Amino acid sequence: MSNQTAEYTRTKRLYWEPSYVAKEAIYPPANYEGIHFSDWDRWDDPFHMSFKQYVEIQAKKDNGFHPARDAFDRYGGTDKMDPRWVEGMKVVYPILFHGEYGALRSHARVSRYAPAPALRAAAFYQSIDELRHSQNHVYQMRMFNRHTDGFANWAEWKRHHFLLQPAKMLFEDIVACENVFESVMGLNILVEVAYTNLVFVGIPSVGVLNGDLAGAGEFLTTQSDETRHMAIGQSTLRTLLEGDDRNLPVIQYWLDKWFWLLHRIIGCPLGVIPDYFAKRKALPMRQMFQRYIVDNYVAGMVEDLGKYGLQPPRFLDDAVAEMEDAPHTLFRTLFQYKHMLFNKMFVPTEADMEFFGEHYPHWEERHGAFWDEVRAGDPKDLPSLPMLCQVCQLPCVFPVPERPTIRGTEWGGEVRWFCSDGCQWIFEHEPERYSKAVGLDRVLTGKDVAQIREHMHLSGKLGGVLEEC
Amino acid sequence: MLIYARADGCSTPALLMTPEEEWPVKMFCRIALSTLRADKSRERLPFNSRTGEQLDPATPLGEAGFLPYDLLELRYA
Repeated sequence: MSNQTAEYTRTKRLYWEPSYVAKEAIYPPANYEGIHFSDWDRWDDPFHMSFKQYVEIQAKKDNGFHPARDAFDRYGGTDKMDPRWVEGMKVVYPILFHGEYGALRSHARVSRYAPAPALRAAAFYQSIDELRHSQNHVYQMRMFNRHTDGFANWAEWKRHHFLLQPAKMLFEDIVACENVFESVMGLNILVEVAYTNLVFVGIPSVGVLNGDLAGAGEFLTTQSDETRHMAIGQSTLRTLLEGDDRNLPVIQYWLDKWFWLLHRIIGCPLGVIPDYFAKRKALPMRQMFQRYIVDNYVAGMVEDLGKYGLQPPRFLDDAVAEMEDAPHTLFRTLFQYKHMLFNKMFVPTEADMEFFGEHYPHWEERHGAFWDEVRAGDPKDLPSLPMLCQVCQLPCVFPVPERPTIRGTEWGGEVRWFCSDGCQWIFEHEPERYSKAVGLDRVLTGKDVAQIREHMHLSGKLGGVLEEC
Repeated sequence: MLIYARADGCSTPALLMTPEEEWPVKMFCRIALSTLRADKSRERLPFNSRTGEQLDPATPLGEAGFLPYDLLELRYA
């Protein structure tokens, strides 16, 4: 046995059979109810890492990243970034912080309550990873904050601004999963395996074209940990599917549900970054989604686990169809709320529209008239917040605001609205869980723009239009 | 009352409004179209989106069968 394996085995075995209290009292089965497995010791962590090794590896990463970012900033890199890209990062970083900090809390809970000792150990390391990522995102915001407005009050906006509520909802939902394996499914299988390549590889590849070398470095050091997080998810998924046939329907439901939530709350909004906030563009979001999510994630998972009966996510076709419009619909909806944002919006240029025409065949027909009216002098500003989906908290504007797929359900003597069949399907499966959220559009009914800005902690000249683009 | 309103073909999302119960449907529709900044050149008819029922323009909103947070849709005629 190698030293590494011996150390790992010893670490993994740092638990004992309790004699003074029932094991179920320490690891209550309510935390993994509905999951069947005979021997939790069989769950294995493919990385077999000791804490000492972990600390050494992570220290090297941080010792490489932080000096590089400081040098980038010191020699004027931040000021040379494209202004549009900076406006996009004002939205991206608070959302990333939501994600990483939520993941920290979620895996702290998994490391406490999971029934498999090796999963508890792996979740413990992941929890610390997520703290490192959260802190690095804050360091990035601190760097930007020395050069521009729109980063200073991110912690308040994270709590109060409508733009950040979907991400808050998503990650609080992952933290609040009663079943630790649902947390692992939502976070490790969907966030990590499906979406981190898109976020931490796809986006910085465009960022570099727009001068954001610090962001590329930060995303790279983040993604270096995600491989381990993906392995936790894949190992868990395979173990549970192999272990007992009764786990399949539970896992399929979680896959269907979290796939849709991730598509809606991360995939759709993320599209505005490569398609709009990137002045110099690479792949359009539609192609990134096809490459990273459909071709790599879904096809790979079905090829690997289809033999156990796992099917592609239920709303995959809806998600693919939506990517034709989602970035454009969200960007113009945001434009209508530019007087309530902490970042600035802008009117697409001729070069942007040429790119859209080339990569999105229906852009002119579905979105062109809106921008024609803006160019003719209509600011399009709206007086109150849009109808927000009860489940995802995004505006009910999909696929396009002119003919949205709004779905309604009566619940508790009032009507709850959903942006899509996917969100309605989730609500109907777990109405108690998803009926508790109260959208900011309802909270702020009857308030004027000044009062809404005050509620969202927006001061001074934040928001508006970026003239130089 | 608390009612959402939206209009076919309009780029404005559904917005939550606070009309009085005694307002006729027709009066609310006129105000909603302005708030939504909808193109008024095409005729639209009022529907309760949840039930699919077309609404009588003369009926007061309070008697039109709306639940809290219902959606009045102005659909192309």
